[in-house]
Amino acid sequence: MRFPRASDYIRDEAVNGTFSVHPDVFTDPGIFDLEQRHIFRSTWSFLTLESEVGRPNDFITTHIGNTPILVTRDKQGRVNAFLNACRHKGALVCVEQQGNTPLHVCPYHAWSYDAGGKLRSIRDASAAGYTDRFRNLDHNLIALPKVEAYRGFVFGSLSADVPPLSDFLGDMRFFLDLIVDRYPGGLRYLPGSTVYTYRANWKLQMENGMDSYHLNTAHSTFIDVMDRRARGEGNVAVREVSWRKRENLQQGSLTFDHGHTVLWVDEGDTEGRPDYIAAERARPRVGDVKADWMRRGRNYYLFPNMQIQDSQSLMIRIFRPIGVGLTEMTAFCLAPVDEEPAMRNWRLRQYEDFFNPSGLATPDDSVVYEHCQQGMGSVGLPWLQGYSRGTRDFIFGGNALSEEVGLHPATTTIGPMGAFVEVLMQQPYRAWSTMIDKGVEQDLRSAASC
Amino acid sequence: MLKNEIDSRLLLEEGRRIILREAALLDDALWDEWLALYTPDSVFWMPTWRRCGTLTEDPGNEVSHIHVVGHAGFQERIMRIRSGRAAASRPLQRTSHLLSGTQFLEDPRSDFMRLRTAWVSHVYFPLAHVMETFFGHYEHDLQLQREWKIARKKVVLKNDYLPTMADFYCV
Repeated sequence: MRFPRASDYIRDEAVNGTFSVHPDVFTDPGIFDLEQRHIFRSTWSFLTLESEVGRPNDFITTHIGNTPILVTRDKQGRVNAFLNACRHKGALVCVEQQGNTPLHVCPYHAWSYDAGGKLRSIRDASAAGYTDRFRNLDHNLIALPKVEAYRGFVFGSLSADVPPLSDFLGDMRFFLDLIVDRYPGGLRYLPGSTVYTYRANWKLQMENGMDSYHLNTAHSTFIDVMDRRARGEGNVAVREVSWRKRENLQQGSLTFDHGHTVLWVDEGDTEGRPDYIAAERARPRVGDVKADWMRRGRNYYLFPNMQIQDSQSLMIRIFRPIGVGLTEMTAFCLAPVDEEPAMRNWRLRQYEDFFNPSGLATPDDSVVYEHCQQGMGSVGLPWLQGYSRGTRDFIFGGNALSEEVGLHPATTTIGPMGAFVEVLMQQPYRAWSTMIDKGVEQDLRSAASC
Repeated sequence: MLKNEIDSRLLLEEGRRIILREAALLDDALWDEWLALYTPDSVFWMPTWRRCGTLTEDPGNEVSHIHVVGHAGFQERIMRIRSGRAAASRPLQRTSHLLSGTQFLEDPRSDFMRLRTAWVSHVYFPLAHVMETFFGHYEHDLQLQREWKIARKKVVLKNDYLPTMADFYCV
C-alpha cells in the first residue's frame, strides 16, 4: 500500500501555467494532524518581541501549534522558551499571559521554577520518600530545542533539526530590517491585544494576507468608507491612503525558500499613514532605496505562524490552529516607542478600523473564511482555482528591484496592481508539502528500523 | 422621604428608561433612532484587556476594540450594514440584550448622570447556526440637553475572546 502524500494534494504545474490545491487540504482532520506534527512541531515559529520580556524575570505565554510555551528573560538577561508544563504532572506552570516573577510556582502541587527554567523546590520533598535515583533525574522545565532572535523578533522551534534562524529567515531579514530601521528608538506592542477565532482552516488566513484580489470585493464597504472620508464625510480624523487610485499603482511580490512571502504596493499618498511619514523622515538616514521600500505597503507571511502587515498601520498576527476547522488569531499593534501623541492616536484608530474583529474590514474576511470552509466541505468539489492570477507573467528568481538590494527570491512578480496576482500563494504550499512529506518519510523509516 | 431622594429616584428611572430603550433599538436594528440617542460629540469606547489581565485605560496609547467619537464613525458602520455588501453583517446577526442592576456611579446632577448597568447579549449567527453570548457592564454618561442624551458609553466586555466578529450592536 502507498501512503497518500501531501504533494498529492498540490498540483504544481506553475512552469506550464497552472497550480491548484485540493480542498481536502482545508477540511481533512488527518492532514491537520500531519501539519501539527511535521510543520508546527518541526520548524521555527514566531514567539514574541524581545521588548515584551524586556527586564529580568519578565515572562509571556504563547503557543506553537497546540503546545503551550513560556518565554522568560532570566537573571542573566537571556531570553528562554520552555514548554509551559510542570515536570510533576504536566500542569501549566504559568497561567498568566504576561508579567514579571522570579519564581514560577505550579498551581497544582507548588513545584517551583526560576526564570531560567531551573527547578527551585519540590514542596515537602524531604518527607516524600524519594529515592536517590529520582532525585538525580532532571526536573527542570523542558527548554525548547531552539530559541533565537533577529532584530528583536524572538522565534522558537520544538525541533532541534532546523537550520539556524538566520538561514530560515533568509532574505526576510531585509524586510524585517525595513520595519525596525525606520524607528531608531525601537518598537513595542501597544498594550491590549485582540484574540479571536474563526470557524475555518488556518491556511485561509494565510492565503488572505497575500490576496489583493479580495480587497475591492470583500472590503468594498471599507473602500466606500475611505472614499467618504477623503470627501470630508464620516470619521475624517482617521484618514487613510486613497484606495480608489490603487489599481494603476505598481504592485509586486517576492517569495522565498521555507515558504515566506512578501506582497507590496507602491502607495502614492505619502501623508496617508504614520509609518509612511516616518519612512520619509528616515530617508536621509537610510538612503533612497531603503526609504522607497519603507514607503511601499507590504504584507509579509513568515511560514508558518506569522503575518506582518506594514500597510494599514503596523500589525503582527500569530496563527494558532486549534482544529482543522477552527483557528485562533492573536493580533498586536506594533508601534515606535517614541511617537507624538497625535501620530499614536491616528495609528491606533487606523489599526482598529482595519484589523480588529470589531472593526470595518477583518470581520468580513473572517466570515468569508467560514463560507469557504462550508463550501470546501462539499462532496465532489474538485481542485481549487485560486492560485493562478499572474502565472503568465511571474518569473522564477529575482527582478531588477530585488537585485538592487541583493535578494535571492524563489519567484517574483511586478506589474499594475489591477492584475491582483495570486501566484505568490503557491510558494507556502511548496514548503508545506515538502515538510509534511519529509516528516512522514522520516517517521516511516524510523518505524521500519524498530 | 426627602425631596433629594425622590429626585434621585426619578433620575435613575429616567436613566434606566434610556438605557433599556437603547438596547431595544439595537435589538430591532433601528440604527437611526439608536444613533439619535447620542450627542453629536459622543464617545463610544470598548477597551481591550491588557495581557497582564487589567483593562486598558488610555485609548490614546492602548488598543481599543472600538473607539468612536461622534456620529460620523457610527454612520460608517451603519452604512456598512445597510449596504448588504459586508460579509460580516450579511445576514445580520440577531441579538437580544438583557440589562440589569442600573445604578449611579456618582451622585447625579439635574443635568448629568453616570450609570453602571450589567448586560448580557445573546447573538445568533443565522448563517453558521451558532449562538454566542457576550457580557460585561456599561458605563453611560447621560446629559440633559433638550432631552436626555448619551454623551459617553463605555462597554466593558468581560469575555473578549471573540468568536469571528463583534460589532457595536453585538455588545
